[in-house]
Amino acid sequence: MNNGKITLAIIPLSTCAGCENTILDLEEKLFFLADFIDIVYAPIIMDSKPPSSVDIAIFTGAIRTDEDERKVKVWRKKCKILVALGSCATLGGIPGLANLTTVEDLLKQIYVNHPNVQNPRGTEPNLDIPKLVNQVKILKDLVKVDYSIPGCPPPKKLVEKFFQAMINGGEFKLPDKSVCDECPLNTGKKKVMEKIKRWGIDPVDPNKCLLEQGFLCLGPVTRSGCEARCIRAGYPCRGCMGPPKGITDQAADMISVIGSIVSLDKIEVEDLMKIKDLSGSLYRFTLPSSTFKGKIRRKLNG
Amino acid sequence: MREDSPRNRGMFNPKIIGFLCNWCGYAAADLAGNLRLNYPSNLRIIKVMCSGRIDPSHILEAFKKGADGVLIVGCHPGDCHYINGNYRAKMRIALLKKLLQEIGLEPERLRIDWASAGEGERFANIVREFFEEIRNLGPNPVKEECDE
Repeated sequence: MNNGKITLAIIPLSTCAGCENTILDLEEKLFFLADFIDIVYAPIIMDSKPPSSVDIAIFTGAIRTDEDERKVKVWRKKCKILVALGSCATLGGIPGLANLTTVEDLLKQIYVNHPNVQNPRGTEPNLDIPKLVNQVKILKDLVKVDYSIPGCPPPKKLVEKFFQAMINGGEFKLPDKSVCDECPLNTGKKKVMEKIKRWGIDPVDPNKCLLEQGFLCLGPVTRSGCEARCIRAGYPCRGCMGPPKGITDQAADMISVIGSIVSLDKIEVEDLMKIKDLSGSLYRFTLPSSTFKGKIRRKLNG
Repeated sequence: MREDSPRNRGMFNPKIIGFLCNWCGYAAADLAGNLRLNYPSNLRIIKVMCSGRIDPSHILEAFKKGADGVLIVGCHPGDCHYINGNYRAKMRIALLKKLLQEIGLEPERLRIDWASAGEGERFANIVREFFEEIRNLGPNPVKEECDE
């Protein structure tokens, strides 16, 4: 406690700073929060020295380097409440897609094999910086996480509710239902998918359920709370809020959904095989928290 | 062919989970038993009401918990007790196989086949074939991966 205020630290791991922006996006509500909460450490927003202890530590970003791992473990001892903010910290997020390949392949692709790179000697940068970990992890796998707020970026309303709960001592809970529940295109009637279409190539009807049109929309297997913001903006749900309560693997359940809604007269198995990059589109934000946590790598028989 | 029979001693003994539908697959397994047909005892049978009831997450969970292969036996196309459950299962399994391939697990570890209630012999053959295939593929690499 600092002058009777709650002390707050916002610690970046491997992040794009979008989650910090969500906090700043609270706008005039920040003034109200400032009466109760003191942000003492937030390297992305302001310059200050790390304190020895805080009440709430908010983590943004995925655990991509060994430095991130160390940070999480150190701050767990320094804080009373540890919060994972954003898809990366709670589910793995976009950096988690690195689990589909290995660090060696990744570095080789970027510094040697990339078509825009001329590197005949095949040298890779050798700097004294934190090393990439072989498998991107989520915070829950390393330490006890008290609150998780998913979303890429997390919805403003949820962040606001969380701060209010911290100030008033109330309970903070994520919504349990799926995005379809909040979706303006959901008519509540039985959905039938009669064609498989590809986003960006086929024309879109903005007033008809995207799944019914044949686009891959992850609404049915994604947690609500975002008020279907992507669909309202004319874009299919990509699943950034993670699976709702009761679902562990977003991709498996989306496959189940596709199996349930395809029209058996008009769609053959071959049509489904045309869907490109299945693991990338169904696990876009949740690969490190999925059943297998990434690509299955065989141990060499030694 | 018991798991610990002299023939099998020292060889890789796969664990195979079988999801059999109540109306055809399970009835076929029942018939195979009544006919005293021999098939590998490595198959652990789970009876479900329809092959369309099997959620892909059940299959992923089976692999995660250490199953070396997952076999699904439903009614022949057109014969589903619930009109089209087996067609839906076929769609889901095809997609799931593609996903498994992408994340690095051999899609051959997952098989969907059909056997009617009268085809005990066919069922035994399916299990024998699948058993040999899994034995050639070797142990499932997922379990150790997930335990670390």
